[in-house]
Amino acid sequence: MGKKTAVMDIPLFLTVIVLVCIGIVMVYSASAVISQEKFSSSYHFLIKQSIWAMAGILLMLVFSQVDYNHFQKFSRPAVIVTVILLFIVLFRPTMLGARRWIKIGPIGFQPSEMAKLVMILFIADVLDRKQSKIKEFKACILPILIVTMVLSALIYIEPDLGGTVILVLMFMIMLFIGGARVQHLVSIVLVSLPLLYLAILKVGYRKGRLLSFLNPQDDITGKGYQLYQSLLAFGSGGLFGKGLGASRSKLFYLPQPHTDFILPVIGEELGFFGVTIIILMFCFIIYRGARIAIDAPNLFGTMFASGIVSLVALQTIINIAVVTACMPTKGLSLPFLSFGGSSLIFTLIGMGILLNISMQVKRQR
Amino acid sequence: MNIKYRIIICLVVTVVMFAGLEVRLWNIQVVRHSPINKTAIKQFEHKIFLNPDRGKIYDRNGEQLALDINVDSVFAVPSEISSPSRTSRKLAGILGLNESSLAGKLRKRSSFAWVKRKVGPSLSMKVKKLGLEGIYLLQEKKRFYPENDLACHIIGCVGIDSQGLSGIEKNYEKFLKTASRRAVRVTDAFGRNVITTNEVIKRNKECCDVVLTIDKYIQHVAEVELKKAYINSKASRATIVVQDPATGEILALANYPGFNGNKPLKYASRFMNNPAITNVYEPGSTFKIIAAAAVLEKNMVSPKDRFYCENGLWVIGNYPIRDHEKEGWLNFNQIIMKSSNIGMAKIGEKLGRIGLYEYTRKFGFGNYTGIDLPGESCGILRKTDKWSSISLGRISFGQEIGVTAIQLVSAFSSIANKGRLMQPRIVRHVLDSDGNNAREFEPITIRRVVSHRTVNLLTKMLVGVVEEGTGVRAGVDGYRVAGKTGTAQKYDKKSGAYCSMKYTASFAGFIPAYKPRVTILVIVDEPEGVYYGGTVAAPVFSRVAQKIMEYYSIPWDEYKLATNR
Repeated sequence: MGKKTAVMDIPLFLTVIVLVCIGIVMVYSASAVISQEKFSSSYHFLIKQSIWAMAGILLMLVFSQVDYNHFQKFSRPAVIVTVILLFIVLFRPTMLGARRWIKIGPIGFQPSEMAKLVMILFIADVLDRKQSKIKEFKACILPILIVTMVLSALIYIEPDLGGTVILVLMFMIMLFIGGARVQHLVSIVLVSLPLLYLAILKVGYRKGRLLSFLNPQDDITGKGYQLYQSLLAFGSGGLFGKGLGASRSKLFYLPQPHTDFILPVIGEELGFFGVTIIILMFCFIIYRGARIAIDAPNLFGTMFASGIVSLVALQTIINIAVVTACMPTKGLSLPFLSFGGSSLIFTLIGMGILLNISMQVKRQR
Repeated sequence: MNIKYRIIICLVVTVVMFAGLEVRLWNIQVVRHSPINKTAIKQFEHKIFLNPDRGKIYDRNGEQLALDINVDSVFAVPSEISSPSRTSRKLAGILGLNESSLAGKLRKRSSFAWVKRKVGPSLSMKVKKLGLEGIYLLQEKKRFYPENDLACHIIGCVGIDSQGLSGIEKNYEKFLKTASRRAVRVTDAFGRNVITTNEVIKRNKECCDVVLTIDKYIQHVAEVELKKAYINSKASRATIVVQDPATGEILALANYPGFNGNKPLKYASRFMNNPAITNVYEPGSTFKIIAAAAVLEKNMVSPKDRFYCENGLWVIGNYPIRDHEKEGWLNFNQIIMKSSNIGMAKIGEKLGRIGLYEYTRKFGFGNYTGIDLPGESCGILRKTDKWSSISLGRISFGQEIGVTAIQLVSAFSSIANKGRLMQPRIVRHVLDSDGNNAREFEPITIRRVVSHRTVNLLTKMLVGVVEEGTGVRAGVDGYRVAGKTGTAQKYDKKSGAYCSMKYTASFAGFIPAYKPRVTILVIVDEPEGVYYGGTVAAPVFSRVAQKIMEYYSIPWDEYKLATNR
């Protein structure tokens, strides 16, 4: 905290702010009709998203001023708290077919979003402390593997397959960047394949989803409906789109147009052009994040930063791949843009931490 | 390997993945845009095809006879209606519909159903005021005839989809039909209405409005007098045609009974026909001018030549020919004036089959006149080799031949027009959407039928008919009238003979006789009681002709009261 002379990464900060603002506008555009129908006011989702955005940006600024090295000592307590919260969630009533929220007053809170950030903290911490033993399975990889399995298992039970996949992939990416042996990673993948098979193909609706994405047109009224509508939205948008607010897919044709499927609405209203600009902004954030990770003052900072950036990159890529029918439907939100408080706030907290790391980068270059 | 390079590997992989997604997006959004967009529009939009706009129909002076007015059509979006029975109860009362069948329509989970098309403004206001959910109004065009049944057989009428069914509406469909319209409804996934727009799809740039040769005033006068005659004589039908002999333009054409084009569904289809051009009848004595003109033209008989009229009964072979009056010797003039069948038959014998057939054709009989109205008949004229021994005589005085009113009026007009037969016309011009003449219809001379000399001789005879012959009731104060009466027994197809109870009474003539402005034909079909053309049809001619002379401000020929009173 002492050396506050350094400046944070302003372009990164501004890009994040602009994306969040675009998100608010698009959430309103996508949700106005649905909101009018459900709540007799078109502003319901707009107001909520705006409040969360303001809270999130405030938290981002706060976290950017807290030295990230302080968090290292909280990594194990944080894991324990997260596990407890994920347990509590399992006893909450089901909402939208899953138990993901803990309600504190009027505010819903998703521990699984917190779990992603906590796992990044934990892995960064372990890799930093045991950096000499990174090649040893038992000493370094096993504890991380156990924590990852516990967290992802709890999230899987909610059920939240998307979150589970993210945790597992984060684990792989961070260990790869940390320098683990490729043989270890490959063998973990091989061992987990039967589990993956059970997790996906044993559950009826997931099997349907998995297969439907391959040919969404074949079953447009059933399992492929959402993807079919998503493609219609993108395709009818064309190069420059129908104009802001002019989406027709959002008139109840496309399910969840303001949450997971907000990008098709953007594609329909702003066209290929608009979507490309948004993708470029994500690329910019990832690029700046990667530079911060490389230039971080210590290994903990590098791992923490690369974890946060990987989280954003993974969620973005998977979400876009899903809505363009390149991957089976997962139920993953698009960072910064999708409606959803926990996701937005924890992503912005992550950005705050990243900004703090950026303030402490090595000056020698 | 350094941690920095591992991060760069991850970054590169990430960028490659984004590039792949961009390619995918390019493929969906740009490459496949148009087929996907087509599918999407099919899903989002529902098209309702509305009636096309139609041009106006004017009389020759620019008075509107047919035009489009805006009306509202009521439609329902059943999926938005929570209580079909309540909605249908409220609506059915106002719109006069069957409640249970409406409720059935509204119960179907479809996204569109017409409730009632083309309702009046007061009803549509009431529907608006109800403010029922899922009930909407859409503006449509409705054909409106401001004069109701005036000139109905000329104008014709349109069907529910604004397609021309008869008359000018049918024959000039391609000019009158100006723009196709459709409404596009944007619906949400539940079929509920989001927006409805009314757009023009196609506009016919060619033409738009049609101007008729009809004069609304003359048409009105003709219809009023025709109706009176129809009622007074308890006839089965009556027809009047008024033509300008110089141009062939039809100034008025009416049949009674007619119909009201604003309520076409109330009338049986037989009222829609236009008997003046579709109905073939035996003209009787009005047809005598044909043989008369022919013998004068050929110099075979002069007006003073005398014929013995057999005291009213002449039997050729087994067939008797009868006259109304028992006459002895009559000259040609008197034969026409008193309308002697026997005299005319004898003149016909002089003329011969070939001559009579030739002149009948020359006057336009047995041919379509080419008037621009649907359903014209060409009449019945048999070839001479099919004629029997008495056909020559009978055709000479107007039996054994079938003509249409439009043929006969044109034949009389050719006499009035100094021997030139004109094509009867009903449309003067077609206007484009800017009101300019897009098409002008010039008068068409078909042929010269007879010479000036023949015309003068024949006109004198026809003046005699009105001044002291069978047609005195056709006289008009101050004007000389040339004309011919006709009283034809109707041929009964069932018994194969002329029946003694049913007649066609007619009068055809032109006025002023020596400088004709109009030719008028009046036909009263099956009058009850007095059935003579000179009694039933001639007065109609007189009254209509007098009003037209006043309307045209034509100076009197001479200070002389007509002999018809």
